[in-house]
Amino acid sequence: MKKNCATIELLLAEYASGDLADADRALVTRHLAGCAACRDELAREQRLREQLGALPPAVCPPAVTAAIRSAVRAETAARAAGRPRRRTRWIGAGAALGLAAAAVLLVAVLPERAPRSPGAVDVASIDSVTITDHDRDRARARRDVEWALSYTAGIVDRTEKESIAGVLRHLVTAGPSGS
Amino acid sequence: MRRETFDAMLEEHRDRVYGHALYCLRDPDDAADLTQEAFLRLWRRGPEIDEPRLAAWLMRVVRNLCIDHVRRRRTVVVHFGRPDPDALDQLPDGDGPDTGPSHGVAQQESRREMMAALATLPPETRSIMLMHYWQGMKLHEIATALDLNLNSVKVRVHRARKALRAVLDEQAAETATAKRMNG
Repeated sequence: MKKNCATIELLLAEYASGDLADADRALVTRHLAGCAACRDELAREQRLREQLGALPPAVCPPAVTAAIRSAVRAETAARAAGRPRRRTRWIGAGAALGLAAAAVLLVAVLPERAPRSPGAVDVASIDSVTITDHDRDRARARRDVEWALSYTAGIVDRTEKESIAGVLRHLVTAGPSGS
Repeated sequence: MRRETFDAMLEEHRDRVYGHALYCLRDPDDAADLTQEAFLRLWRRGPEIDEPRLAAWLMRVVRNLCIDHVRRRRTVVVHFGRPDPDALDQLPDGDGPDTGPSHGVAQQESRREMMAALATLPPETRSIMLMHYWQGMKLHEIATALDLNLNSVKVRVHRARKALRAVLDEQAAETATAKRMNG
């Protein structure tokens, strides 16, 4: 590779798209005339441009547009009424996913991180005996569940968050140690 | 901001915002959610954003939302496996000339390979590639929109191009091997 090939390669995207200033365009053209490696790179750039440019345009579904307008109307009404802002989101599937993620994470992660002692209760039953036998692992598990809670909270409506968080927290903290 | 103004902005930019989220996340539901969030933020910012800067502002918002979303989702992916590749089939059909069923299958396969290759890029870089190659934004416009140095954008595009080509070449080699074994 010639010394300034690296510099030329940085300009190839704009060269191929026709956005390069005249002086730089002339510089690249001169370099390409004598550099097969950069000509190959330009060919790759052009192929990629064709492939990515061929991805079809996306159309925002009417339901999404309607949901946005509805959310804006709700916010406007809430502001007018002096109520705190309420975010209307696509929470149906999202909330279910978040809850499922939190619950499955709780079940899936704990057995790996909290090795069972003989006679330990099956973690899949969400019994915290296994967790409280291992303080270090319990702390890790708690962090994982807290992450799941924050993930859930991010997609769940504020009013629902409190009750869901309460339920999940109860699942984690309830147990023989009570802490 | 007046509702009529907002509605006009929504009409003009919704496909671009939704499309970016869809190609970035490969999930129509997530794309819908992020599109809604982006436009709600626009509504809340109101008159602070003037029309000339609007497209760039929206791109920055949707790109940041996508990055945050991918980071959150990555933890889930680590625990529960990779995203469902069938989600790609939910992407919209092209509006180009269709020369028959085989053309459609080939086009879909090509799109699937490209989307799989794009998915290997970090979300920040993926967004930049979509903005430039798919949405037609100039590199200096991307730099302005994302508050990045132009040279930094050039370097990212250059590296991403090499990474994409490596993945696509690998895919092509695998396909050729599979065909030889089946043939």
